[in-house]
Amino acid sequence: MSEANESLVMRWARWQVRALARVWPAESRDWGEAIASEGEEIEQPIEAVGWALGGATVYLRALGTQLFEWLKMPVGQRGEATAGAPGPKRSRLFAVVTLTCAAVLLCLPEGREAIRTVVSSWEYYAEIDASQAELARLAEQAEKKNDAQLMAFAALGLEDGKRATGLADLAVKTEPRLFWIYEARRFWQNDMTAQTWTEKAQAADPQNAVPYLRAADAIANKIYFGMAERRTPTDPEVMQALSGNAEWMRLMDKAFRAPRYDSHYREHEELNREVWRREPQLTMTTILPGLSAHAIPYLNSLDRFTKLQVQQAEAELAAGHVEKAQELLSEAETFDKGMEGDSARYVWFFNPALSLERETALGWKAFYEQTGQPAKAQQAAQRVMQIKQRGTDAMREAQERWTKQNRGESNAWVVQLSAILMVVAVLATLGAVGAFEAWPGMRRRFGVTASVLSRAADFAPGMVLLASAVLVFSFLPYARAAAAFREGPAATFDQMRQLRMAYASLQAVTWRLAGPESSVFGWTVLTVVLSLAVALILARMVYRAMRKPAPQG
Amino acid sequence: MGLRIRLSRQTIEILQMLLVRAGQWQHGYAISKATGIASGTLYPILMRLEKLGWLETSWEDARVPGRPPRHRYRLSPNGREWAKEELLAARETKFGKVAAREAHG
Repeated sequence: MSEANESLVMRWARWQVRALARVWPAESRDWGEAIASEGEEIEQPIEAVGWALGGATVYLRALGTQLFEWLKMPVGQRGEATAGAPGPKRSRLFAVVTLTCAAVLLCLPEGREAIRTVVSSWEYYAEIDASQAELARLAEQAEKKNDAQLMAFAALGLEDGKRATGLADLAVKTEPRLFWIYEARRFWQNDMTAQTWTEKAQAADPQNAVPYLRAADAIANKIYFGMAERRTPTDPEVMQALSGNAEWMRLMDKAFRAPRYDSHYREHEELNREVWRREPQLTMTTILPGLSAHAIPYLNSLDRFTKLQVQQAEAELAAGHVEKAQELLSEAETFDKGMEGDSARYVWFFNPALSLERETALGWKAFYEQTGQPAKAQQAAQRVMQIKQRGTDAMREAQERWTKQNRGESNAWVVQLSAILMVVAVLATLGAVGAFEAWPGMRRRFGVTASVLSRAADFAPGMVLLASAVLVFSFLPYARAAAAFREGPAATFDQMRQLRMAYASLQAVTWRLAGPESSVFGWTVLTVVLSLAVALILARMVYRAMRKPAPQG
Repeated sequence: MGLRIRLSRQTIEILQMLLVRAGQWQHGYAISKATGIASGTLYPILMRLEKLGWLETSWEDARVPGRPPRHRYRLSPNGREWAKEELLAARETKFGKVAAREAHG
């Protein structure tokens, strides 16, 4: 090493210890100066560097000790000057440790998912279109990567019809097996692209009844809303209007004669699962409405057309056209069976095919009675009874599910209230601790406000930890349901139901808390809180009276 | 009996060195050179000994003009007694034996 370099190194080492001595914590600054002054005595550059580095570690240690001492003091206290003055009693260390524990809990995957889900449920309530923004981001990402699945997912959820059409076309072009997405999109009002999608669906899947049913639904919608502008039409009026529309009748007839009925719901679910697996940061608000928005033909239209088929069969029979009548009833029966096996059946509370089956069975009963086949007529009557029983069972099952959903809602209350409590506690901590730290005079000018803030500084950090823990633990069943949905090869009915319940219940609570019924809720909460307060005060009075020593003598 | 402290090998070496020249003021750099203990370890030990009352400290005017005053250290009378007791006890331990052997050559 040259002499010039040596002196440079020496200069640096001496400068470093001197600089550290200047910023050394006041409590132990003597020692910083001691190290700096000894540094001046060293002649060897290597020793000087070692001395300077050692000095730096002592400085860091002194800094750590000073920080620890500061943390051990109550919130807002600065040295001895404010010691003993009224104010928060808990130490800064307590606040730091509790807030750190809360942060660690919330940083766990379940904690992050809980926060995302709760936030998205409120965004949905506030009509902040976070999911649409998220879908738009995914669409861009998908186009860049030429990712057909992601494009299809975004196309099914985006409200912008034109954008969705472009994405769907690109997705199907890239991966032709995704043709079913043309059948799976539900259209928002005034979406001019609906017809295009239906035509594309018919062209891509001509053997399937669903695209024709969807086209028929569009006509039925138009007819119904046209009639509803004057007054709500009765069912016979709607049936008459529909049967008088040649295009609706043609499309429904084509659907009933189609060899297959496939809503492709299973593929849709699989697509959502795959996207969620790849993009776990997506919330339930983005994933689940996609599934709920799946286009399933209107049950009413199917019911009405089946009734029309049965009525026509009766008319044909009355006219002596037995074979034609039989053909019409068989057609309805075949369609009904095809629908029964569809993957979308568990979206409904009970199987929609049941209603169609009942209409057909009634048709067969009338047919056999009129064609003089009493044994078969009796069999058909028994079938009607069986269907009725199945319907009753299905309703009971639906009610049981409803009860479970209500139970799910009570858990959602815990999730939502703990999240609200956590936000309030965080704000209280920041406000109270910040006020005492920023304004030491607060301790001396001890008014009512300072007294409240002092309590908040003592208890709010603990409340943050408690609320975070409750939030994460109460969210665990939802996190498990979401994980099961993501991981499973195919969601079971129970998994889907659990997930839907989770989503629905979280949404429901936002409406109860802030919707039209919120004032009722607010008064209820106020009444409960005041009652509890009164009960506590009474209990305290009784306790004090019991502890009071009996007068001497 | 004074305040008992957990004696590390380095603390024993420093105490040995200060006991050998009991009553004489020592500088930090000199203690570091004599014991081979780096400044990052030496000063926290000195700070602890001073806090416990084992060590006396004072500032000495610089002998070379322009240089800052130097900090110096020696065992307090009580500190000397306590250190002797602790070192006796420590001699029985592994660290103590090694340190004692090294200190007496």
